[in-house]
Amino acid sequence: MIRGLYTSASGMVVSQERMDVATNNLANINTPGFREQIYVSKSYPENEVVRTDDNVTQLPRGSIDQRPQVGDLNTGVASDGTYTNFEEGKLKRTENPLDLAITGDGFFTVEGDDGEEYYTRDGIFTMNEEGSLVTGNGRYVLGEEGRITVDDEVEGISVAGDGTITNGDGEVVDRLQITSFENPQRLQNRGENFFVDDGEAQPITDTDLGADFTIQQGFQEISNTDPIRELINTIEIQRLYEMNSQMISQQNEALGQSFQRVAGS
Amino acid sequence: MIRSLYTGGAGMKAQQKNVDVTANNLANVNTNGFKKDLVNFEDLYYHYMKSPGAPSTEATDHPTGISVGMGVGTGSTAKVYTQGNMETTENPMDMAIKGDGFFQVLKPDGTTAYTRDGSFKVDGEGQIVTSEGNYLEPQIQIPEEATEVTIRSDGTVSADMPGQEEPENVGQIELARFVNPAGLKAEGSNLFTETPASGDPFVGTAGRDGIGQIEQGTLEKSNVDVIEALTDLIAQQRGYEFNHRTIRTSDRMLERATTLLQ
Repeated sequence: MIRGLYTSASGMVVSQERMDVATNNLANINTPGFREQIYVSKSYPENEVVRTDDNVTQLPRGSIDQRPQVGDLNTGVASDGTYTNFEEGKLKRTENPLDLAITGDGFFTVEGDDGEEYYTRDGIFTMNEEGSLVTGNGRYVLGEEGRITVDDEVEGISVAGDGTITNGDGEVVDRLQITSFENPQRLQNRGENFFVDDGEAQPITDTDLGADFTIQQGFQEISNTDPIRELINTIEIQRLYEMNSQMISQQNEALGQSFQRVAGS
Repeated sequence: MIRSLYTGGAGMKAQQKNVDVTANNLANVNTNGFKKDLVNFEDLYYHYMKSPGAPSTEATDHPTGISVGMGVGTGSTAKVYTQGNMETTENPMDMAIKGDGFFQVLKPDGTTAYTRDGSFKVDGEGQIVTSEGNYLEPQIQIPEEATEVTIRSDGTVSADMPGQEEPENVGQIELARFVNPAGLKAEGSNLFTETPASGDPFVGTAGRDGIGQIEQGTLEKSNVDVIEALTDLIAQQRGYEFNHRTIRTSDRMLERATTLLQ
């Protein structure tokens, strides 16, 4: 009975966490290049339930348990992990020459702090005062030869499908470094639309060997959150939460009645 | 739970910001030389309850970890400097820039501002001024007796004088260019001022060194695409509703939790 209270409570806790994840997915519905997260829960390990009132005791500790078994019991639910859904978002046409989108695999590579590299699918770039290609928050976009300095008017820049950047005079400037990963699930969300490698994601830095991709100039990739599915999710989460809380109320009532019967009369 | 309330709130605020910017774009759909703004969103900090690779048993690791994001924030708003539509006005003092560059305007406090709005006028002293009365830089004086003013695509201003066969050269309009025009600060009144992010202006002759050409008798309208702005508005409104819905759901769940204690 008391055990059941905790089981129901674990259901409420997991519903809360699921709700947090769903809310974040919906909050980022208009964030370019956003990748939704999927929450996965698991049941607690099974416990063996034994009868305890048969005067068979387990002594000394560590010896074979001779109490009669009743069966197995799962005692609740816990979070197993959040997975990132790397499915591609849809493209939105902007005709802005510095809006780049990747169709296919791979990430734009961005210069992070302390020589680290950040990875992003948000290809809304601008030019900074040095004429270098930067992200919306001012971080340098990396090409195969490092920072990409075009130093020319934005109008003439063209980016080919394989990431080659040519300036207004038709000279090749550099090629975008598109990094793909053997194990993208190990990428960590850094915020600001960046992913970082925790050391296990196994980047493939050679653009040709890695991803099968095409760069689309003048397009933005929108968030891959599916709003309908996520809304239905929130309804389900809410109801699950209510059911679990209802179970707690009922068990509480039943417990109260037991007390009444045993202690009250 | 409380977290999802704030996350949903951040989502609503972000969409609100988005609507504000789109509304301003639409309000300026007929403003000469106006350049539309776009809002760029970014996801916020992620709370890692468990890191990827944390051991799950002695022999195995968690392949992904557990992380919950804290919502969404406005990363930046950036002006989009695509060419606006051109309108022919036949007014000799209307000028449009085809391509990159800005007209330079002398503000009353002595500093220089930059504009794409080419609806210039001539004031009582014959000076070329903006609609607000600020002087075009470098200042150009149109002689009183001039019958017709011609502005060539390179910015040379000449005036036909009575009794003279050849038009008289009265000045030269110079345009300024920036490496990063998106870094300019919008001052209102169609004026921009330079910032460290825009870089220093490169002043030169129209039609040279990557600067656009001047077209007389034409005005550059705004580059706001009404259809695009309206579809954006729909997406923003729905985004707002989705986030409102998550707040309501979180609230209901919290309400449920509090009734447990009764």
